[in-house]
Amino acid sequence: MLKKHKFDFALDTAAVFRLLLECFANPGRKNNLAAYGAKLEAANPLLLAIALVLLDNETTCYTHNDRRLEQEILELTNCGRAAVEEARYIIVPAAVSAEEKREILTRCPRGSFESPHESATIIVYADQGGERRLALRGPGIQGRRRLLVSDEALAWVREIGERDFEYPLGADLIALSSDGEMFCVPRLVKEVA
Amino acid sequence: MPDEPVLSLYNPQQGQEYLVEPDEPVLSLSGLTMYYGQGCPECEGDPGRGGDPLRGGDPLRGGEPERKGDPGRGGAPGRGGAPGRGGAPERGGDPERAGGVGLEKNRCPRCGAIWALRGVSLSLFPGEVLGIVGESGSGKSTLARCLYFDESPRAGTLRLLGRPENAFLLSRQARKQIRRESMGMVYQNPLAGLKMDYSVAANIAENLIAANCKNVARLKQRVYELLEIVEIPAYRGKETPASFSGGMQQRVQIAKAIANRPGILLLDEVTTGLDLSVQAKVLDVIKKIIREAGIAAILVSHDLAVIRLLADRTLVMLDGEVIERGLTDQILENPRHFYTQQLVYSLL
Amino acid sequence: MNRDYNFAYLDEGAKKEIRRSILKAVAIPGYQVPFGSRELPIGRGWGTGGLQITLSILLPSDILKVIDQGSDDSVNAVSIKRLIKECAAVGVTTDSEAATVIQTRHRIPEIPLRGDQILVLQVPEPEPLRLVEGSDLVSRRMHGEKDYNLIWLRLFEDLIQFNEITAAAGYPVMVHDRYVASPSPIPRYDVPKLNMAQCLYLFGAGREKKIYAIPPYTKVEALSFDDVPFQVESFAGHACGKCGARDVFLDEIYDERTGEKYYQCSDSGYCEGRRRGAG
Repeated sequence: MLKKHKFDFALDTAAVFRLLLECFANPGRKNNLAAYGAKLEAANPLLLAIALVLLDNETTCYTHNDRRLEQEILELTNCGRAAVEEARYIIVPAAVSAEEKREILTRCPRGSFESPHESATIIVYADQGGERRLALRGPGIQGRRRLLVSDEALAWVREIGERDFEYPLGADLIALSSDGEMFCVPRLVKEVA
Repeated sequence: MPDEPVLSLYNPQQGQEYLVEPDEPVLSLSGLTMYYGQGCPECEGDPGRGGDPLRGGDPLRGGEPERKGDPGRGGAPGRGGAPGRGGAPERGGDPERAGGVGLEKNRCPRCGAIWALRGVSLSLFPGEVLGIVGESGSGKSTLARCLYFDESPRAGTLRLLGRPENAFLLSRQARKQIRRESMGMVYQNPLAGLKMDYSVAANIAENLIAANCKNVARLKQRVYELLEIVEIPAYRGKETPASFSGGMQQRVQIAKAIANRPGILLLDEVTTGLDLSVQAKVLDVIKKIIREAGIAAILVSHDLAVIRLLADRTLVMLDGEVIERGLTDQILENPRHFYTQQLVYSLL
Repeated sequence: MNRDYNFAYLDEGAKKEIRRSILKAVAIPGYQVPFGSRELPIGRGWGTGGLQITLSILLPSDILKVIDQGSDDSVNAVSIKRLIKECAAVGVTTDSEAATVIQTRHRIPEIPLRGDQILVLQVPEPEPLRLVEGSDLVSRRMHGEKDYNLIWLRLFEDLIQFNEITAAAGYPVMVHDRYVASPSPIPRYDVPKLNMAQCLYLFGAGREKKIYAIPPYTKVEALSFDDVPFQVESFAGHACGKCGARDVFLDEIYDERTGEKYYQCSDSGYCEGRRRGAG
């Protein structure tokens, strides 16, 4: 199972993690994972790359509407499968309706005041590249950062914003698109005009 | 008949004003019920039902170590049950907490629950002093602790300062804020109300800082103002309360309790245990403050002499119930309940 | 590099746990994320927290600098550097501008760090409330409720007793107006560097098993009363005896032989850089 991947589980996970960390620390900045995705033989190599960095048997994930991907992730990482109410990592591999987004966000763990880290990281994947304008403000950003994102990614950012979780409660977003681009929106970062 | 309210309880730090009509109480309590242990609904003569305390036993006190530096560090952060559980109600009858000796008659014969309060109701009006008198075990101190959110009752509705909600059901943060802005408490034991490893000045300033005053000059000014009101020399502000006499410690508590100009002052056996001569000084200070600030106060005491001195109206408590209530003078002149009569005669 | 060990020593499971915690820490600036700490061949209290973070973020292409109280040459800094080189084959440097990852104890370098740099700080006691509240349970609740009264009370008490706030190192800071954090035992002089910086700060406490972070461009303020502004150490009138720098944090050194007192840059890499530049 592991042999078919050219992905190095020590060095490539370290590289992907650094890109992820940079995206978290600089929300809205884009990094490209295509080179790492190319080393994986999978239906959705980008999501898999992120899964390989973050998931293992000490955490849980919920994969929305994709049994095969779920199976693949569980097998490769050994992470626990959980319902959306408990999962620390929620993977949404395809575009979903506004209702489904709201459902996920209403049910996902957002942490408690004493343990805000016990909250979900939502990893979403959208098929097309970015055409919509998004401006973000918050820690990690000097002033504001403008970027172009897909409809789906923009919708997620807005739905999370609308949920209006009381900080420090919240959920953090990792947005991937088919061209390999990744950007992140941690809970304090909001859309601005 | 004036349309304007007679009393506006203004907190300068918060800039909030709670307006209370002249005939409206600042505090209105009904059905306060408290017992320790598991109550049972079929207990004889028991109107209450068993079950969890309001808010699942989430008092603002209890479950915390009394002293700073207490090791209690388990290392496992935030895992397992919510903190705040395991406060007094679960303790199943600690006679000390529940008010002293003679509690066997308050114990339910079937389930062993110890009853402290049975459906107590009262109202407190602006500018008045309400005395609550009774022996150990009458529930009067439990009453004070519940009003100050140090304990969570099993049942009861508390309305404060014109607000419509039941204060017992508010969130922890909301109750802390009410406590800080609108209530002052003076405990019988100074250790409960003061931090012995901080100066008297810091002790008094604690609620001011908590109410968000971050200006040192203003804090100091208010602290020295308060020291003057309670007749403690300013130069002693730097000392810790540990070096003070009992009476002075109580006066420090009083200064701390009124620092934020609360609308309600709770005084729980504040002179008990002090020498008579010292008691007089403390009571004088209280009298002066109440008169000048127009504050409303609840004065809990087993000593009818103290009640007579300060209270306008009085409630007499026995075994967790109010057995007599009325103007203090009338109760003293014409006590109706047998127990009240005994109290009054022992005074005279 | 010693190939008997995994890259960067830690097993991948250990790194994942730390990486997950780092990301949550960055999402909640100043909040201490608990993590499962692993055994390391360095005693507790010698920087295992910072070390675990460094090992979890390192890439072979990184250039590492390790300092202890500003110095690249202290025993502790050298041991840590040696361990990391053994198992991660990264380049090392004493030049803070050339480094991509800097692990430090008790000081922040003089030259402001850039957006492509990460500073990893070793923290002995991550809990700013520890001095005033011994119970972990109660501290967590206080953070959860943003109830920092006891810290303010302590600061006020200092002013009452001594007319000044006495905390010299590890002065408590408010991060993004929400969490009070300990900046680790850095001198007051370094505290302003945390505010709206370009780089990412990661804090690791190995013994207490906590990780916290300050992202770039995040508001970080030392706790101070409105009318008693936060003051940093002043070295007015003094310069480094070796490179002549002023306006930097200076160590006071006593010459053993002559008994004379002189001053020297605490940031040894900075001092060296100036001397090299001067000729």
